[in-house]
Amino acid sequence: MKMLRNIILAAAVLFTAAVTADAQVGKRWYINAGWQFNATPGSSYAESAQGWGAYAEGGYYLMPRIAVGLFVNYGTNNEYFGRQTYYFDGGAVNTDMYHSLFQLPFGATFRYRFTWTKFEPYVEARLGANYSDQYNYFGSMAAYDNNWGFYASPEIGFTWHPFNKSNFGFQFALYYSYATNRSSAFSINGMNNCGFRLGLAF
Amino acid sequence: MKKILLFIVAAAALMACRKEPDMSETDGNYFVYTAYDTSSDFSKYSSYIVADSILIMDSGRYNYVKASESPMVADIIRTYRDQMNSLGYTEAGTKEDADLGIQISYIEETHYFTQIVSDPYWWWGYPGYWSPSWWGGWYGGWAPYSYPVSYSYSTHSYLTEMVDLTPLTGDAETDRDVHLSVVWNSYLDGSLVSGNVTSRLEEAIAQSFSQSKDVFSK
Repeated sequence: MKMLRNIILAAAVLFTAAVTADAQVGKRWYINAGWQFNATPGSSYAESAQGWGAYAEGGYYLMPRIAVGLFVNYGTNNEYFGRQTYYFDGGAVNTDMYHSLFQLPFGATFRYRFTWTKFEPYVEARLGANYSDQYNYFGSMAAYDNNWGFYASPEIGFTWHPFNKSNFGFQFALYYSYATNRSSAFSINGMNNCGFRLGLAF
Repeated sequence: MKKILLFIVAAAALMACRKEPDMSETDGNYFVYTAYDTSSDFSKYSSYIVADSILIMDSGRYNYVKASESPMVADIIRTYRDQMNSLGYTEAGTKEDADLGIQISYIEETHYFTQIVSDPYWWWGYPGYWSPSWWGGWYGGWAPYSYPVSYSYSTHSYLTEMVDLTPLTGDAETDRDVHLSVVWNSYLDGSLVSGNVTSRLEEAIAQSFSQSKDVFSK
């Protein structure tokens, strides 16, 4: 019994020492930026999973675990539609086309990190506005609409700072987002997105 | 800090990039747009005539090319005649005997901006287009369009209009003041056409009539 107590005590001491040695208090601000891969599941306008996007965000730790900041990211999702005839009042169009959905949300972030070591897992909430435009490309023409909506996005991820005394590192995150953008021209009522981000951390 | 700022600027510049789709991946056929005057009674038309020339528009230069001067023009005109005949219309020998006049234009290269919006007079002001005197009267008064389309380049495209010739009396003096209406038109955008252009054009002309069958069967 005494031996077990000594082992637990030794393990606790070693663990504390290890954590202390690994601690990366670092700067209170952070900047992350990189590549974004976005999917639009269930979208009747442009349902695809493509990596035509990027992101950037920055924040400041008000407390050791809690930060607030700003973000902006963008992405394009394209989907091909085979040739069809579309009838409308007074005429018709026969064409194949691409639907192209562009989104650019921006706003505020609220991040909670579980540790502040070299490996920092976190959860984050993003709130803001989402600018979006939609193009139907056919031939040399395009039908176009744009709109604004509210944007909300939960995110989980981590930053990894492999070097001592340096804020430089890497970031990986998974996210879901919903924006309230609507388009009567293209029958869009809300935008669901999910994807991942891979980038650098400073 | 300076490097980080540079990095942010570079990231912001990248963000300005929208990924446009690769249009070379489309099927290579013509975009076929047709519209008609919803107030016209198509049952009153039984005969037609196709103009013996095609108007070629090329960056501000306009030439009429007769069917007798170009096998390509002759083929296109023949395709229109075949389509009209298959719909049951009778080809008239002269303009005076025809209910409908068909005029075809080819845009080789143009930089003029045209919009298909709710403006019923979108052809007005288009320079060098078919002379109103071609049919003997003057025309205008397009049906309003409801489809939100705009374009700025129409290279390798065909514009075809069907003009209602029934108001013409045959008297040149009287017909000078007659208002002719375009009752049907098509726009065949060939800017992305690849492969056998001639056969694809004939298919596009057939498609323009196919998607208007309900109009002509009225």
